[in-house]
Amino acid sequence: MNSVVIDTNVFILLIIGMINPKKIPDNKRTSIYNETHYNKLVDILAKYDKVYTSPNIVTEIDNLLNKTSGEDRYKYFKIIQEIINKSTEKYLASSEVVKNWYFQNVGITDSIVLLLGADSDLLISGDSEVCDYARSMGINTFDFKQYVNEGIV
Amino acid sequence: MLTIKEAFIKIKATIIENFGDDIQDIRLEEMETNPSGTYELTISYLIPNKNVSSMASMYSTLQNPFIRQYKKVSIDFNDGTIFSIKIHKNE
Repeated sequence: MNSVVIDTNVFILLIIGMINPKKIPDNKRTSIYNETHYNKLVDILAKYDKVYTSPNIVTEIDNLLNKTSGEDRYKYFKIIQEIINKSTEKYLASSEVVKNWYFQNVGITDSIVLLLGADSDLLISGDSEVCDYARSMGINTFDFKQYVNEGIV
Repeated sequence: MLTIKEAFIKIKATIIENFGDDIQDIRLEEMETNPSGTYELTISYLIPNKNVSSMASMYSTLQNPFIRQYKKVSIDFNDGTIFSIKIHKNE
């Protein structure tokens, strides 16, 4: 089975797109993305059987999106429940994660993203710095910001 | 009124002019309007990694010869005036 890891930034694009793709440019976190980018993400994910996540990634997503208001708030909770149920959550002890050389540069959640990415077939990240590190570590990476910027210039 | 592409090209030129020729991979990261009607664009770029003060950073330098810098740029899309380029801090 082939597996993929998605970081918080890209997960937020996925969730807002699932709520309503027209709202993607309105959210501060997804302001440079649009419906085309969301569709590209969905196309990539369709090729993978398993999505790895971690409690740290899920907590970051929830902290950023659980204040969504109105009907979208209800949709958000339904979608995050579905994502959690369908993905494979991996727990990595913080005491182990902080031993990695890159921890002091990227912090705990992004260190976990890199560790999960190293153990998967593809890492999709919307964090340019994480993608820089991932490439230097030989992790197969889809650099979402690079892809978006190629469409700008 | 500038397009995003025109604004980004202007900002790229300004960043290279002010921060040096050894800058690479300049990217648009985020974009938002502020109450005064100007736009705030978060830009990132790579510069040579010159951190050699500790073993951890030496290893980081070996693994990653470049480090990414982030700047928040305030620009008027009407006439292309760049008001400020500030160090970006995560919020």
